[in-house]
Formats: sequence, structure tokens, C-alpha cells
Amino acid sequence: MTDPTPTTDRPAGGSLVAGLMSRSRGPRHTGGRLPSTRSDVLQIGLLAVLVAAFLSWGLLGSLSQNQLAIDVAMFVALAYAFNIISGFTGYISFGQVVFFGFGAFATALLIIHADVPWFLAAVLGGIGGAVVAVPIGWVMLRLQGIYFALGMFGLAYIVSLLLSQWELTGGSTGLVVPGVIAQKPVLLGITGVAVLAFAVNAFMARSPFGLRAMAVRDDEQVAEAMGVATTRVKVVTFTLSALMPALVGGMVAYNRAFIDTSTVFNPALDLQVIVLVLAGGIGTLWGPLIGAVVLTIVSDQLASSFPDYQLALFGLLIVLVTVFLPGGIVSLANKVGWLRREIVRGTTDLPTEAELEKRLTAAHAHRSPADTDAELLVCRDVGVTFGGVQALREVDFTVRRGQTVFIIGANGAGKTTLFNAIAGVVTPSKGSIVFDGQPVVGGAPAHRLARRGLARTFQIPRPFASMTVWENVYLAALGGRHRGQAQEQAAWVVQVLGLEEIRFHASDTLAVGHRRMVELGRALALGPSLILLDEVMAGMSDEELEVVRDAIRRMPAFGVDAVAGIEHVIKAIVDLADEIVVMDRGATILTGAPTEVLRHPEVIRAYLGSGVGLGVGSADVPEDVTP
Amino acid sequence: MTYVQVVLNGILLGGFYLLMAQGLNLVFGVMGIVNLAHGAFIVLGGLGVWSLYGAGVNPFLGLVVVMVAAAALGAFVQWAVIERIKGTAKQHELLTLMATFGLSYILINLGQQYWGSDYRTIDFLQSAVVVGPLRFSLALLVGVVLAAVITLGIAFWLTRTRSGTSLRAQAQSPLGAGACGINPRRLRLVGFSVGAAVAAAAGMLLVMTQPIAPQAATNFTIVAFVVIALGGLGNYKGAAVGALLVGVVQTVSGYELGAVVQAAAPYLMLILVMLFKPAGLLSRKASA
Repeated sequence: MTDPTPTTDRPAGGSLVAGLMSRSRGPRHTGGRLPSTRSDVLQIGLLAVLVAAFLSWGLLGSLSQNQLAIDVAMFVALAYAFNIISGFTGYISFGQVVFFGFGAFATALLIIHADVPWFLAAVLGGIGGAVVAVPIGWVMLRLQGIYFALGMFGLAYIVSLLLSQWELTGGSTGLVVPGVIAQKPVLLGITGVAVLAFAVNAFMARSPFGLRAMAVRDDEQVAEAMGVATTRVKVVTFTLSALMPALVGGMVAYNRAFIDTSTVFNPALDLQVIVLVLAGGIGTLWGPLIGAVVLTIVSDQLASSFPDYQLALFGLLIVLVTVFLPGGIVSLANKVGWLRREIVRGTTDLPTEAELEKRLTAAHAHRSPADTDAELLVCRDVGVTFGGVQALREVDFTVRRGQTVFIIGANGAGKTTLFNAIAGVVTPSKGSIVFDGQPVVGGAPAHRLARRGLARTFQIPRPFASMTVWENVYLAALGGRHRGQAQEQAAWVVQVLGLEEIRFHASDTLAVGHRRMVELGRALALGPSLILLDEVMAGMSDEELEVVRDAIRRMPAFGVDAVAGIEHVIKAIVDLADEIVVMDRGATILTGAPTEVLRHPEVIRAYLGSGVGLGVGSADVPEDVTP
Repeated sequence: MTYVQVVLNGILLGGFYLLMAQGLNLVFGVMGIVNLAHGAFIVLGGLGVWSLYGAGVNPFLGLVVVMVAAAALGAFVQWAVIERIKGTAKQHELLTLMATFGLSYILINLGQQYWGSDYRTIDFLQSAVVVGPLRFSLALLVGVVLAAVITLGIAFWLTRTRSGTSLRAQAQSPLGAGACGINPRRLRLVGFSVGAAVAAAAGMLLVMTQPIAPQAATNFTIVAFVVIALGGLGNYKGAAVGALLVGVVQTVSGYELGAVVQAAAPYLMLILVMLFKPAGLLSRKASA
């Protein structure tokens, strides 16, 4: 296997955070098994050395040095916690401090009223924080972008306001937490949380779960269509990112011996964490650590030199980072090849196509069409309206197992709307859609439909921008499969579509033809029983067309029971299609065998307009019609 | 009768909020970003008028002074920071959000150093206007009239003048606007500095009616954001509806349920409305 050609290091597009991520694009990353074990040992070793050095510095020094070490460890933990939900999952939160405050008050109350030892109290507070995060996340994560960020900010504000009115929490005067000020044990505890937070991030950076989170970040709708249960992924990551602040909050409450709402719900704490993560490199494994250690020590110096201007200096720091170093400190290290994302999740040597095919065919054997000709998808009298516009008036559309059906029709005929209705993205105003014996409910989570065996491609390719081609395909293959099986599936797809050479390329740097191929590859990797292809052949070279046509022909062997496509490239589908459906102005007007349909005067009219002299009815017409 | 009074006060407050939100809406409309330093511009504008008033300057003259100063500061911020942020659309959104968040803390901190953290108000137009059984603060009435004038002025500018139309064109399609020979850089500069000036004007009206301090800035950013989010970001008519709603809900809840609920009301409204009407109250389609 040759190395793929190196691509540039320009920042990627994609979601809020995606582009800021530093990650590999070059040939360095072709290698390694999954994930490279040598690098694992190296990184764990590095981490152990760092922790040992940190503790010996923090534990052995003076009292003020202990305190600074506690701050450093606290910010490392908070930074990694923030990185989980905001870096990997892409939901920027301005209110994670709500969990810090929750942990602090829960711990303080347990110590005061139940005499629980501080460490146990902090752990209970942390678990409590994670538990309350589940319903909070379930509700709040419906908000997107700025709404989520400010919604969380508002939530922290409301909780702080309510607790400041409550006698149990000491109202506006605060609580005194009894106990001796024990810095060293607290430092050990918080360092433990920081290591835990790092471990969670390391897991996120290389596990299929982390890949799903990044898919949510890059494009939530596509992630759903690829079988990712986005709500669950978001809530789980949110809960993880609430656990650490709650744990740390409890320990800090014990450490400070006094808490009140204005200190533990201080939004400036969130601000500081955001700065650290941004400065280090958001969405990366080492960025939060570097940012937290460097900036906490710097800010300690700043605070003692300019006590009155600490916030302004932090604000200035954010501004400078966003303007001059949008990828964080890690992006500097990346330029010389260090600290890149070490996760390619693909082997250097793919098994041969024939071998894969043999294995996969065996795996799919039980699904071989015993009941060919059964109806797989039935749309009856479907209508869709947007506001006052009737996008679909009357659509009857049936796909049987074993069939390859193509829909043709002029732009605006409602073809993509029909696909959206089938995929449950838009809700029909009338009629019924039944897939595999069960009705399609509009607005229901799309991943369920994907798991039931319905895959689709998007008309405008939407690859996950921060991932490589391989990761795009592998993510889709993961839906409901074991890792090994998913890898085989993905490897097969990559080879069938001729993507081996570019499989470690960043998917947002691809040419149009390749993007469509990735789009098709993802749908195929899902292993669906029905695959919806929305103009996959548009903009492809003749060579690429042949690859796609070949892939469509081979689909039945791998569990794909039926193919439904929208296509304008008519010459490419005539011999592939068992049936062609013609749509015009929101209705299906004709269904039949390709040769028959393409000669129909109605089709010629719909495609070429009703002008005279277009050879209506003559035998040699539209074999080659490409509008 | 007191109830009518409370609701009417809420409506007046809504007029205020509309002005507070106008600048934010304008900046969002032009650049598609939410300026989190908006509240800081409001507060610093108000405190500027307070200082000038202390030095014997008439607040209306002070209003002009702070508006010019804020416009200059806004232009500087746009030129020095916002314009220099690079990246694709979505990256840009995050980075500007962060940058303006940082900026707000710079302004708040500097404001605290200059004016301190005490809440301040000016004793101007404090007499009451009595209409039958209802009493209104003169400052509030004058404020609402001014808010209306400025709002209408912005509306006139956006719909009737060449630069305003260009601004709206840029908001709808930067590429298309560029193709029509519109200079997007200059337009963004104008948009941001007008947004800042309007924020400062809102600050002047605010300082006449309630005590303000630098650290309250975030609060005003949130209220302004809630107003435009209720109406749908970038929607000028929607903002008016949102402003009245926030004003009335806040005064009524304050009257019925006390100060804590009053303070929490905008935040609660933000979360609830975003959950159930994510595209704003005037949107026809409630997307999931």
C-alpha cells in the first residue's frame, strides 16, 4: 500500500469546533493498527511521568505552592470536562459551572449535616451532579449553538439565584464547611479527578463512541441518518462532562472551608475554563492539559501582579487567541508534527477484496432474499406541503425486494422531498409510507430508520468534515455491528468504491466526485436493506460513473435488497434500472421498464418541454438525455 | 387599577428593551454573529452619561457624546478584532462568540476600575406624569419616546437609504452583495459601530430609570438576546413583539412573585421559548 499523497494543513470546515481541531492529514497517519499500541504506551508513560512530576512539585512545596497545585489540577479537570461536551460533541456550554456549584453544595451539606468524610461526600456530590445532568442534558441539548451556550448560562444563573434564597444552602451568606484545611489530600483527590478526566478524553479521542460524538459535532442530521443515536450520545457526553466539575466542586468546597452561591456559581470560572481549552486547543487530547497548566500558572502570576485587572487580562487573552491562534497551542506543536490526533482507525493493509467479499457474503447469507418480489417500500398517495406550497401532491411509489428503481423528473418535481419523506425528515400531510412492513413516522429519530435498514445519501454531499474518508465510512459501518465486523464492512466498501488511495485524506479536502463516493460509501457501509441514492452520479467523470454502476450491481450480494435512486444521468441508469418512475410537479406520472418509459411522450414533454419538433414519439429519443 | 399600571409599566419597559435589543439585532443581521459584549456597550454608555451629568453636561448632550464614542469604539473593535477572525462560517461563529465574550470581560473590568462596582443612576426627569389614576415616571416616558425615535430611525435607514439597503443585502447574501459591488468590510464596520452606538443610547435611557453598574452588563446582553431570540434572530418586527413580552412578563412576575422571579424571568423565557419555538415566536413552522 502506498502512502496517500500529503495534503495541506489548512483548517477544516465543518461544525463549530470541527475546524479548530488539530489532526493529522499527512502521510504520517497511514500507519498503525487500531489504534497504534506503541503510541498508547508512549502516551500513558508520558502521562505517568507528568503526574508524578506534578505531584512531587505540588505536595513537597510550600503551602502556597500546594494551593497553586490544587488550582492547576482543578483547571485541568474542568478543562477536560468542558472538552468532552464542547470539544468532542461540539455543544459549547457557558454554564458547566452549575455542576461545579452543585457538587460544592452537595458535599458541604453532606459534611455539615450527615458528618460524611469529605472524600466520600465529594464522590457522592459528583455522582449526584452526574445524575441531575441526565434530565438537564436531555432538555437543554435540544438547543443548538448559541442557544445552548446561553441557555446553560441562564440555567446556572437561575440555579444560583434560587440557592441564594434557600436557607438550607446558607442563603446569601454562605456555608462554613467544617474540617481542617487539608491541602495535600485534596490535591491528591483533585489530581485523581484530573487523571480520570484525561482518561475519558483519551477514550473519546479513539473509541467508536468518540467517533459518534464527533459525528454529532460535524453534522447532527447526517449522524442520525448514519444510525447514530444522537440524543443518547449527547446526553452521555454531557453527563460525563458534568461529573468532573461536580467532583472537583465538592473537593474545592472542603478545601476552601467556606462557600456561597456567588463564588461557586461564578460565571468567570466558566470563562476561565473556556480560555484554557481554547488556548490549548479545543477538541484535542493534549490541548486542555497544556492550556490549563500554562495559563493557570501565568494567571497566578498576573493575579499577584495585577490583582484588579485579572478579568480584563483573561478577556484580552481570549481575544488574542481567537485572532492569532484559533487552533490553540497544540496547533503550533502540530506544525512540527507533534501531538497530532493519533487515531485513524484503519489498518495499513486492507484484506483483499475477494477475501472480504467471501467473508461478507457468508455473513449476509442468512439475509439472502427468500421473499424476493415482496414489497419493501410502499408510498401511497403521499402529499407534502411547506407553508402554502405543495411540494408533493400525489405520489405512489413502490419498491420491491431485488429491484433497482430510479426516479427521474425535472428540477422541482419533488424527488428529494419524496426521499426526505421516506427518510422521515419531513412529515407528509397525507398518505402513507410503509417501509419493511412498518409505517415511517415523520419526525421520529432518523437513526431508528437507519438501523431498520434504510440508508440514504444526501444530494449535496455532507461528509463529516473533521474526519478522514475511512472514519466516515467506518462510522456508518459501526451501526449495530461489532468493531471487527464493522472494519470488514468498511474495508470492503472502501475497496469497491476505489477509495483505498484516499482513505486517510480529510474528507473536506476532496474533489466533488470523491465526496459523492464517500456519501455513497457511508450509505453502503450501513449495510441497509433499502438504499436511497440522491443524485450520486451528478458531477462524476465517466470513470467514476462506472465504479458507482459496478457498486450498484454488486449491492444485492451484500444484503442490500433494493436500490432507489434519483438520477439525471439517464444514460448511466438505463441498463441498471428494473423500473423507472417519472415525477412531474409533485406527482408520479409514470412507472415502467426503462425503454418503455423513456419513449413515452409524456416523459419527453416533462423533460424537454412541450415544444414542437422534439421528435415526440420517435423511436430514437432519449437514451442520452441529460438536462 | 394597580394591575393596569403594572402592565403599562411593563409595556414601557418593553420599549426600552426594544432599544437595548436593536443594536444586537443589527449586528446579528449584518454579520450573523451574536455580540456578547453588547451589554458592556450599554452599561458603559450609561455610565458615561452619568459621569458627564456629574460634570454638569445635559444628559441629552451626553447621549450624543456617548453614542459617538461608542460608535468609534465599535468601529475599532470591528477593525481590530472581529474582522481579523478567520475561518469557515461555523468556525467563525464560535470564534467571534468567544472573542466578544472575552471583550465583554475586558470592558466590564475596565469599567469597574473606572467607575467602581457601585450601582449608579442619574437624578433627571424624575417627576411623575399623572394620567387619571395612572402614574408614569417622566424618565420612563421620555425614554420610550427616544427608543421609538431611534427604532424608527434605524428602520428608516435600513429600508429607505442606500447604505441601509446594502446592509440588508449583505445580511441576506454576502456573496451576492459583493457581486453587486458592495464593500462588505466597510459595511460590517458601519453595522458594528451603529450597533454599538445604539447600545450606548440604550444605556443613557437606562441610567435615567434604574441604577446600573459594570457587572450588570451580562444581564443586559442576556435580556437583549432574549428579546431578539423571541422574535427570531435578525427579525426586526419580531424584536418589537419580543421586547413587549419580556417587559410585561418581567414587571408582572416581579409584582406577583417577587424580585427573584423577576430577575430569573428573562432566563426562564429564553430556555422555554428556545425549547418550544426555536425559530422565534413569529415563526410559522415550529421545527423540532
